[in-house]
Amino acid sequence: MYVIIAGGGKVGYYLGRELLSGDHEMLVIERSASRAAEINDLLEGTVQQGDACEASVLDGAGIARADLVAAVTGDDEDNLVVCEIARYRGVPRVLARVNNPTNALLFEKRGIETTVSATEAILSQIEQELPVTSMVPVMQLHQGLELVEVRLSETSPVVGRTPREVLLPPESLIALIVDSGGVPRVPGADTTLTAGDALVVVTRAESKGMLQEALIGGAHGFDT
Amino acid sequence: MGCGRTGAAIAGSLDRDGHQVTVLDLDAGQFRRLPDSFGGRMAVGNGMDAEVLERAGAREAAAFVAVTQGDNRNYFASQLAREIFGVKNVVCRTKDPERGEIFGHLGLQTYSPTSAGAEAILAMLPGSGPA
Amino acid sequence: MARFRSILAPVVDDPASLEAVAVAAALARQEKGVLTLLHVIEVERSLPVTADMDLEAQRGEELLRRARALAERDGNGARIEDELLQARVAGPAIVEEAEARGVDVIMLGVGWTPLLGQFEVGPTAGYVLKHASCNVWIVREPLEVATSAAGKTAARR
Repeated sequence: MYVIIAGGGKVGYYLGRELLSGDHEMLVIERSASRAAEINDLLEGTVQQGDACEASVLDGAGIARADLVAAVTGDDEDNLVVCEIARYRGVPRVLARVNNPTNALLFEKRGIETTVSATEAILSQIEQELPVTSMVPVMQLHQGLELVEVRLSETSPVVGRTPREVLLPPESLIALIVDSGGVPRVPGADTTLTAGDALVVVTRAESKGMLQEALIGGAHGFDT
Repeated sequence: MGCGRTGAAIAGSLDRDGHQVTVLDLDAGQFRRLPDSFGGRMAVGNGMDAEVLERAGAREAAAFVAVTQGDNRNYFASQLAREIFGVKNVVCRTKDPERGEIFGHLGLQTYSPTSAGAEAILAMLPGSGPA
Repeated sequence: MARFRSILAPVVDDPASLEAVAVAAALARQEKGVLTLLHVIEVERSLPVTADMDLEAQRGEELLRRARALAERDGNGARIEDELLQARVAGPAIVEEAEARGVDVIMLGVGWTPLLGQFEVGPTAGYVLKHASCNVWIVREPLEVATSAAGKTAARR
């Protein structure tokens, strides 16, 4: 399977890194030359510098043989255009990251599948397992706040506790818990955290190391 | 949407001809480009926001023209106007001719100033046809 | 000095690269080691990496034949192997091949051509220098030769 990722920001890079370890062919297209050079080095030469909104760039990247195009830039209009061009070129599956949830309606009208958690959605599309312990960037919020998703493994130090008992870094909060059956819950006093739960957490960029230690334990599985 | 030179000229002309016109721009300073006689509405806001479009009257509009500097922003707003508000006549300016051609297949009327400009200039060069 | 029993020499069609093959062969002879000559065909993204690249493969074989003749001359007695690979970009393919073969050193020829007005090693050498876990030796011809017209083909390596 050949996957093209448009956008080499945090989400695109993370996605690329996960795909690199699987059996799929992958290419990240990033507009900024300096960012492209930076992540190309980390992604073993699988990054192409260019504007994925230009049909000729996509053609050069081999869009004609792509099985999936994921547009994960920080701009919804760019993601829409990438998906439209990819679909027009006959790519069987296109997927867009939606940064502003109110924009999801237009994508839906245009028949383009969307997600706020691009990493998980895309990895599940290509049937690749998420790493057991993972902290996935979901969205940048305002004023240095970020939304991340953390999947709890059996070794997580917080399994068996309630959200209130978990000591989180300052200005961090568990916003949502999605259990392994896909049922979302708002964390309450009687909620017990279970292995397999996905926690959607608001945190500050500089607190992610502490957050990882609190929820995953140890220093593995995350770098940005 | 987009009160640059092109947007202001289109708005001014339609207004003179007696049409009801709303001009939308992110920057109120851009409205200075409109002729003094302009009698239409001026709205500050992002045309990629459905709420802003609705407040600007997209639901009742007969036509929508997107002429900001960004091809993708123009496309996004044009499809909002067409898909969400059912505007019949939508024109999306697209500088990249390749992209414009594809947008043309996706339900929009597109205009590429790049191709049109090149053609106009070529027409001014005597003997620029096949040698 | 560490022993260099196993040497990998990436080969492209330029004088600096063949110079590196000669150095590698001499080293292999001295160490009674194995020299692997590697040519990487870079396949553009619009094609699958496994696409039939007949013309390039033919050129690559010819290049490897020339390099082998040179290596056998200078490496009298050393074992010479060769390999033709297809990859997206040469740098990662060279590093991967070096890891797979467990080589002790990669011997790379670099040309001398200014990129954007400044001298820089090209992307392949840059990647290999940065990522190869084994030793990397860089071979450059004398300045006068490297900067002459003949050396220009070595650009961007």
